Amino acid sequence: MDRHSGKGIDITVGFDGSAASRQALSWAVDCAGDSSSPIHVVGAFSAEADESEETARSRTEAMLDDALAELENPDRIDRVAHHGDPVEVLLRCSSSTDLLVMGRHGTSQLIHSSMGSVGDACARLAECPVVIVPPPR
Amino acid sequence: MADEQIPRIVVGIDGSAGSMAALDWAVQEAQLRATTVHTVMAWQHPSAYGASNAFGLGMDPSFGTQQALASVAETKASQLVDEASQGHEVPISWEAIEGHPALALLSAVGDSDLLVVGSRGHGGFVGALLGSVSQHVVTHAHCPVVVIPGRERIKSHGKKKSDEAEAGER
Repeated sequence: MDRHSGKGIDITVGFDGSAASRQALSWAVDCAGDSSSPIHVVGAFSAEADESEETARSRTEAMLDDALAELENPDRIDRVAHHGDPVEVLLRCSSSTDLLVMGRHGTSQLIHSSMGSVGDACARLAECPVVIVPPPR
Repeated sequence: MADEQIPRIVVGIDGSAGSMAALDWAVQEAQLRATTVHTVMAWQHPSAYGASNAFGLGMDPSFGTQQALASVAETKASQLVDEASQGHEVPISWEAIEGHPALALLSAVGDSDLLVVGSRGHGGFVGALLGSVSQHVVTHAHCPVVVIPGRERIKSHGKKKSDEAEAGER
């Protein structure tokens, strides 16, 4: 569905628990405003050396649940954890959403993927408009 | 820094297809938010981007050339905004700023604005890196930046989901 078709919008937020991604989620909630637009909060995970994929998934889902618990009106917001590289996960999402929202990481937070900066790669390759939200000042 | 009282949607335009897609998106978004669109066209004297001898381009590197370039940018910006103003009520303003496009955009945008850019402007090719202007503003802006994908990128992926959604609604 097109964000601008007047039939509703579909917003996907890339979330990794960082301050920048919290800012992105907050922006997405503001952007949706009073509409009934669904917001999907997506976390990408990979298993650390000493954990199973299922443990990694649970860890990521718990992080997403914590983020949703902080929101005032989480009813229309769902969350999903996908296994894989953050860029690949978000690019897959970009083909089925109207707006991909993500936080911009400062240089102190070295959150990169094999394809480079997640924000740069998504802005370069996504099929939908990508919103890069700066971290809080 | 621009007036931060009224959040606007600011768009960088250079006449490229990518920047016009960005302007289209901005106008539609402004309709949803009941706000205004402000467009920025940057222009530079050739010497500023490495043409050390402007005579080589058939130009007289004098103040007159400076004025002529400014005038060309203003005419182009005004023309693009006129075209984009058809068929809706969203107010669109424009300004032509001398300087590097990324710096011009950053100087025009306030913290509460929304900045919209095409994923690349003139000179890009399919699969190219994110345009240098887009990349610079994404990295340095104090406001959210929306990067609009090129139309050919969507086409290159074949059937877009909006087609499927329409099919599903029939």
